[in-house]
Amino acid sequence: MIDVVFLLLVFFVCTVRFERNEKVYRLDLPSRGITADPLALQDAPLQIIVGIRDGDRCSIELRADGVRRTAENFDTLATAMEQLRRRPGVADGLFETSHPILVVPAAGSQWQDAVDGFNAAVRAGYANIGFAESKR
Amino acid sequence: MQTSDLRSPNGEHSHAPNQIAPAMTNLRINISLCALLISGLTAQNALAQEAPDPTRAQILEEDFLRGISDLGLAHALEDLERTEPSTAAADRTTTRLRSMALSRLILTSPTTLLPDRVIAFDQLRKTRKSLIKAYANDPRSILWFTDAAEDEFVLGFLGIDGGVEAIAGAPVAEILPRASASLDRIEQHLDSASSAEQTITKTAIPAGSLLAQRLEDDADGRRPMLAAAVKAFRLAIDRSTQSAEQQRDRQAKAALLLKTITQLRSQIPPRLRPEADLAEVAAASVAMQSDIARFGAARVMLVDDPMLTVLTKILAAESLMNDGHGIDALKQLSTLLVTPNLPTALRLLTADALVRSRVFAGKSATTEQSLSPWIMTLRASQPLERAGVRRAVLERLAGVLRGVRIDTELPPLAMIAIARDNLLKNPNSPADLALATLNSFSNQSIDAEAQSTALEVLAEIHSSKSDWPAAADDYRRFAECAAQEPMALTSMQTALDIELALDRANPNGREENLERTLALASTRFAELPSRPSTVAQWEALKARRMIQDFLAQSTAPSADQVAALSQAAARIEDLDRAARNARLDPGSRVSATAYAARVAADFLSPSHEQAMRTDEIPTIALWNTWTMYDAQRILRLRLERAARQGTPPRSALDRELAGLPASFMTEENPMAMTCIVDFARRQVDLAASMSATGNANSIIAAQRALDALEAWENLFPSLETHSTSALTESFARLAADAAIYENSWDSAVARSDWITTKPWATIDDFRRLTEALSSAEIAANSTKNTTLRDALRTRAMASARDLAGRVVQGSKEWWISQVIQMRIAQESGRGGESVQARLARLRALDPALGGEPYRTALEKFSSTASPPSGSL
Repeated sequence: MIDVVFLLLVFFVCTVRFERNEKVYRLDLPSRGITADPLALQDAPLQIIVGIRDGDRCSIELRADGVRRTAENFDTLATAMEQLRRRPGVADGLFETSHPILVVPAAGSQWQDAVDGFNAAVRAGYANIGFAESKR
Repeated sequence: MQTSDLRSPNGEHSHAPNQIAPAMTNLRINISLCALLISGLTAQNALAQEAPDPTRAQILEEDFLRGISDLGLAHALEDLERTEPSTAAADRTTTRLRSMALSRLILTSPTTLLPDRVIAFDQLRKTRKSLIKAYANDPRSILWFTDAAEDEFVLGFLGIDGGVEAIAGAPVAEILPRASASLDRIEQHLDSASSAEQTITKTAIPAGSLLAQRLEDDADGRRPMLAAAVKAFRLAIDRSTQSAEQQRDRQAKAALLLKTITQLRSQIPPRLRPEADLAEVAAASVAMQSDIARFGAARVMLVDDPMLTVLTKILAAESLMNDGHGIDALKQLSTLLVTPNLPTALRLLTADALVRSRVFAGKSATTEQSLSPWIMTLRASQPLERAGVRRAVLERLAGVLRGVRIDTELPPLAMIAIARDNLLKNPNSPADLALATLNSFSNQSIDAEAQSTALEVLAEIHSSKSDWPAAADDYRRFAECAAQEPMALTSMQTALDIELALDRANPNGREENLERTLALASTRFAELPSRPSTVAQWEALKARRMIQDFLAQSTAPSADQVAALSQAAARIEDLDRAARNARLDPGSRVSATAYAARVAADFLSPSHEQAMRTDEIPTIALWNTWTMYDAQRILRLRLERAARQGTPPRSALDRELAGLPASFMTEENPMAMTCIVDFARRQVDLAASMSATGNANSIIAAQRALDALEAWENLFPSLETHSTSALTESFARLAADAAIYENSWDSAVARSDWITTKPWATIDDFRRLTEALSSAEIAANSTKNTTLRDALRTRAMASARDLAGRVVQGSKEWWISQVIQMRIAQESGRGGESVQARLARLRALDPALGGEPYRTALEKFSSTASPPSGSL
């Protein structure tokens, strides 16, 4: 019995991986049926359009009224989005932290890329992020 | 947008980026001119690299300007002058060269009328003369002389001086000397070019340069060809009787010329080939018997140019005539004359030849049969070209019949032509008979062509003698008689202008004629530019005359009546005077006319004056004693007056309609509806014409008229089905504008809202609703009516969002919606960072924030600016 227990202990010791805890992602799903404040400015969401991956490359585009940028990868996307974010006391940002962000994956794009887009927005400091249906 | 420089494909010129706004303009110029220039540029590149060529750029610049003129690119010339002013050009000839290009542009434009063409050609001659004089030692002057000869040939001889008609033998006496003088000028220019070639030192022309090559081409190709063409045309237009030997000599010369022209064909610029064809036809017409002439004629047929073909056939027929085959010649020409789809100018040329041949064949020029080709050509012409053909035919008839007395045996048009010629060109001839002839044709209506021609001639004659009252009548009658011709519109406007000028000079002098002219212009010439003011003037004049008639005819009007009417008449006179005062701005003049019409409206029916002004008599009493039409008319006038005085129309109506028989307002009796719809239409027209001039009173007029119409609609729902939808739309929009103007926000919102529910609603209607809601909200806020304010605020915000979604981003309506949304958000406490962020995004979209007034309104929301005051 003790041999069996010992063997099991050795097995679990060998197979365990000391991974970080899974992140707790904030995720605001698109609201349905919730009445928005009728007198507040309703801003069109800033869209992160995630394209189909071609090997190592994945086309990423940032699109909103007056803004149209492409990003090489999700790090540069995060940097670009951070530059566009308004910060207290700085007048040159275009989008508030609470500005709606919509990740729009193209039909056939990889889910991991959509999640990376989401993560980039989180890293850039935005709080109101959602996923749109795939573009067909 | 940055544009590549057309003239610098090899980097020779260095131009600033051309800021020509429309990209298409540049594209078009690129496409058109690159083709034009590419051959010259590629051919010369190698040479340019070998030796310096100081005049190359100048020559290319001239090519460029010629290309612009030939292709009719007026806008390109304007853009060029704007971006690269000629005054700043290194080549000091640029100003004159561009001026010449502009003159050529005018000359080559198909829309330029003959008088303007003559002026432009004179200008071209003067500019070129001064250019050559100022730069006499410039080697390019040799080319400029040849250019002058070429322009004289193409634009002068063939374009203005009737060269083709002279070759085909038009019987108008003036053409021949004019064409001959034109040929003299061409020869002079060619001689001057040869002299300049001798005097200018050869060292001024760099060997192997583009200039040297051009001069060589000029000397070998263009000048000899022009000289040969001049000789050919001289032979062709020479119709003097000659001996058989002289005739043979003439034919030999022509045959020789034909050979020369054939040899030179390969050495002339492609643009001159049609003219070379024409010269060949001219020479062939003289050398018709020789083989080479036949060959030339056959070749011309192969070119398949309608003009050359027709000309060749005419000249061939003439040759047959000279050889004694008159019948065949007449047959050929008659067949040619009735060829379907023959352009009118060529038909006229054929008619000329046919008339000449008939006279040559021994027929009298005064018979109807001889002159019928011209009359037939006039009758076959399209309304669009009728005026020009009529003038040409009259001149031809007069030319053939000069010296012939007016005789009833002649065709009507021939009589008119002689009368015109006598009155305009032979002041010594008896005028009475000529005028009587014209008057008799103008007063009959059996022959419409003769009537309209006589009226046009009378107008021309009376204008030339400054008999303006008669001229105004003639122009008006011509417009009435020839309403299907485009000339009728011009005549109508001329008649109107003359009548109004006469009335200004002497009011009441020609009231009947003025009224007739205004009535015709208002009722039959909807496309007349001045129609809205004409209609209002007509209304005012009618009222003025009715008041005068009433005062003159009324047997025993009371003192009060006379005083009231006199007062109204005086007021109308004042307003009329203001309307005709040329020193006032057009808007005030139209509104003065409209006011006059309104003041006069009460007096439109003098016989009903008593009933109209006595409110004690109910309409039912009138109904019983007067005719139904009278009763309705009185009712309408009372209603109009009530609307103008601000009395609630409904109560006025209730009072008037009480007890009226039901049939008065039912569908069996459509007169009431017609009456009110006409009234409504007049009000809309009036308000629209006032509105077009920016007169704020237009919307008040519309508002009141609409109130009256609405009252009628409530009582009589089927009225709407009788009013046209266009009327309903116009009225609804005018009423909404009126409500906004009068700050009646409830009404403005309701009316605008109603319009946006209709299928015919436009973006402008949605814009109006949004603005009305926004203004209504501001008004409610100022009165502390918070419940109403909140409701309106919510609707205004929703409407602004809706508007933004309907229009193109960056449009006027889009910016309006942005301003309204941001104002509401700010004032309802939802501003702060979201407004600042929106503002930053709008700036990223357009740094000018849509321009004024949106920029100022939006910048008020900036956190650095003072607190916003509100609306746009």
